[in-house]
Amino acid sequence: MDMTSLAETFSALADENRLAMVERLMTEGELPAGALVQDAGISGPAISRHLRVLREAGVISQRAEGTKRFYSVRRDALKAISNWTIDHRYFWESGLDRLETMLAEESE
Amino acid sequence: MSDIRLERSFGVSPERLFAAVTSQADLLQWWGPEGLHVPEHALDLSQTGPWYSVMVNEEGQRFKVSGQVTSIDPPKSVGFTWAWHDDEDTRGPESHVTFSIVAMEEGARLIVDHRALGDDEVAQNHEMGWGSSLNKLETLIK
Repeated sequence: MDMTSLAETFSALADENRLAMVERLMTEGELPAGALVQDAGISGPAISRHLRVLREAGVISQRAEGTKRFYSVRRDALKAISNWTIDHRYFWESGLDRLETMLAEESE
Repeated sequence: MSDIRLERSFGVSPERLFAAVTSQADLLQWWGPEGLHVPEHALDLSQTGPWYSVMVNEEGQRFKVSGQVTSIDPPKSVGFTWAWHDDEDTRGPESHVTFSIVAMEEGARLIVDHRALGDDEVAQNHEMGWGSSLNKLETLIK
């Protein structure tokens, strides 16, 4: 994945509706636009706009079948995010484990 | 990212614990998960001003994080900002970390608060979205 678009990926995901759509695509796999409109509780045009933002940021890809559009998550895009940062809880918990070891060794 | 609070008790004095979480020599001993090295750093949290660290894992991946120490009250607390950088050194969304130290009968307790910055809804959503997608990613990508 092009790293210049990593910031774009983050900003694309920084929206409740878009994140919900991506999570749904991650869980259920490829879906037609119609299925996303049905359950999202927001209008068709708004869905289209969100899908475009996600597509331009490289988070999802679009496949056409006749007049139908199908959307799926681009795993390499998400993997780039996952590789880029470390979960904060994991960071501090594992750090505190090491701090505990360090201080315990001192007081022995 | 939903706000995180971690608490841990240690059998040392508040002063020793404060030094362990603010002095660079000590921080480098425990900063981050096992297996990560910190080859580049300015990790003195004992005075206000900028800090950063570059962590490298066994596969050679780099993780850079930076911020500013914004408040310091020895041996009770230190506060600093926090943001990851991407591969082109662009700084991501900023969050805030506070270490608080509470004296106890035997030893001292450390409280780590890692919070999204700002109370406007957009910032909150941003951080929450980030955290929840990362949690989800971890389970899906493995």
